[in-house]
Amino acid sequence: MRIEIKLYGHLKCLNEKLDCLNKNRFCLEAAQGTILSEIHKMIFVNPADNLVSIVDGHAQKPDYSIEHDCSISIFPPMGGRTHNPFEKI
Amino acid sequence: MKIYRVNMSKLSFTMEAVPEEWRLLGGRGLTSAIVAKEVEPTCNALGSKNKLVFAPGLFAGTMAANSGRLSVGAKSPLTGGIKESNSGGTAAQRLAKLGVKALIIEGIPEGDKWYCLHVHKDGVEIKEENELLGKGNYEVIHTMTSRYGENTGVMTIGQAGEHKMSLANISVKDPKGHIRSAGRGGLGAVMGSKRIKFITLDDNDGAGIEIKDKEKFKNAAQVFNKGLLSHPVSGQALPRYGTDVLVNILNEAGGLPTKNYRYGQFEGAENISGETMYDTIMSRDGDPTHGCHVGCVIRCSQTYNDKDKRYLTSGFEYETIWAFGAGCTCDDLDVIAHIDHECDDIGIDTIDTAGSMMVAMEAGLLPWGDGEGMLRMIKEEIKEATPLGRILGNGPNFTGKAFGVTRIGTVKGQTMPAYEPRAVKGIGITYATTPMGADHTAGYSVTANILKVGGHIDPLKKEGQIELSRNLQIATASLDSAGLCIFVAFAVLDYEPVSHAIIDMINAQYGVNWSVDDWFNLGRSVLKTEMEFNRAAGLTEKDDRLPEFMEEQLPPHNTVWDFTGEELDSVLQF
Ligand code: SF4
Repeated sequence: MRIEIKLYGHLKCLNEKLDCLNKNRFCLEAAQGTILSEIHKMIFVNPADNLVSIVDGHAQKPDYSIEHDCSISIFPPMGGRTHNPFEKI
Repeated sequence: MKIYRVNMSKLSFTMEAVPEEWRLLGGRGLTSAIVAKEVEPTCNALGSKNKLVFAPGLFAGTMAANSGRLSVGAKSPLTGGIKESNSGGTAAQRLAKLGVKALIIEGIPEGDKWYCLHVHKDGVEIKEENELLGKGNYEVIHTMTSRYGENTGVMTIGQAGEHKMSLANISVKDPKGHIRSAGRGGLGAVMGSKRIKFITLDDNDGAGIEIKDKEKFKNAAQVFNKGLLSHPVSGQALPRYGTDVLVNILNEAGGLPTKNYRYGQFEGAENISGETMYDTIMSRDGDPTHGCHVGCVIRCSQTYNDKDKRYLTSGFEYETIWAFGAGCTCDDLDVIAHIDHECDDIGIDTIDTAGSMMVAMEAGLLPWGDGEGMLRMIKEEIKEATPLGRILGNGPNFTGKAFGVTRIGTVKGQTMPAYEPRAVKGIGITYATTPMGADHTAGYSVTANILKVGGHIDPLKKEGQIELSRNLQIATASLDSAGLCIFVAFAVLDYEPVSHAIIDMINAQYGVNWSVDDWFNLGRSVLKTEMEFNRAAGLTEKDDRLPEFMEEQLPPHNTVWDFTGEELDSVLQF
């Protein structure tokens, strides 16, 4: 299925295997049932925690299942915690 | 510590001991307690019975990061209720270093002379002032800095405050000599009513800050600091893009109020976004990140230069950019920066000035999107206090009455800021119910509604919003009392050790044994005091409602404001 991606801030596609390398506005093909965190991995290879993703106007969690023709806006790390810097304190 | 009290009717000064009941209050907690105790709620906000109170927070002047915010309190001429207006700048830390817990200004001088105050270790000198009357805030700050030196704190009002306009704010000098503002609620008009043009602060040889257990305080402050720097919002996004990072996020989420709250998205958003601002700042040799006071580790402020690389403005906030931008459909960031500069200089709150402009556009006084027109109105009408300028300068409700406009986006007379209540419902609850009038900082539900900080609550649904706003309002009232910047809340909400560090710092500094419950009880009691003042001032449940037009559907989600009066009345029942 086809999805539209908009990257904000300093984010751009870092996956050298994709045509959209270094771009911040592009379309991607993804398999049915793909979840948001897999899209993050596809684009950034090693995605940062706490990316804010808004799918068709709705903020969604990393396990959200995306749908054909959706538009995903991804913002730099500024979301709530996924790891706790105090775990080792 | 002590209380400095200035009586402008008698032109006298007294130094008082801090009553025991105020010992563990600071910032908003203290300004609201003093206003509630000493100001008749039904008094005229611009009359002699109102008092203007400046208070640093509980941690001001210490090594606790981001603890140098200043609270300014009074009865508000804009809302008719109690007001705490919060500012960065160097004043809070200087007051704390002088050992001043609060500076209370009461009375009104006889005759028509103007005055300035000079605050120092031995008290306050009250001097006649003529030279800087009619001048803007930048000139006041530059003149006082050359007269008394770089290390002088300045709090000043511009022309709007002199004319007692309800949009008038109080400007506070920041570490670079630029301007931060106690923006909301018209407290510059209260200062103008007391005919004080400016206050200078000299903290040389001040008594300093006592910390009972220095080692414990230092350890807690280090944990606190680490938490702020580790959090993605306060450690990465805000330092790089400033608060304007929110333009694209709110726009994509359909929550960017556009054209006087008609739409949730603005087609010119990209042009006024944090990303565009960052690129512009970098291309013009500006400074993308600095703190509004010493000890801020988040540093969300910036210096924005004009096309010729000359200083234009700083502290250029998302709310300002939204207000004149999407709110008035202007997508020219340079024009908005010019407007921000003028507002700072004249001393008017940007959110409420834009609120007046939205009403002016509804009335046909200006075309939508006319940035140059807004700049002209601010410079030629408000600054000059023409009849039209006085109407605009007294806020959106006043302007609406003058021109027969009913689509006015205010609560208690104060403009709803940059987050659409129909698309970010938690913030709508805060706008409606905070004793301050529409104020995003009073309970910033954008955290859980959009950024998934402190959990995630669907911004378009009703479920969970009342509890979210209530809890955030309580926590914010506590943070405001500590003098902490609201942006510490991201780390506080997400990392438990950070909130514990705050309690540890209080216990170490004041030699007490507070628990987390005591901390939240502080916030509850601040809100209770403020609500009681508002009810005694004549504000009722009807004032805790959003404007009627919020029942219209908001594109793109086509949601409506659907909270009942009963639900809203339950928010701050505790
Ligand atoms: S984060 Fe921003 S508002 Fe807060 S203290 Fe720092 S510069 Fe001021």
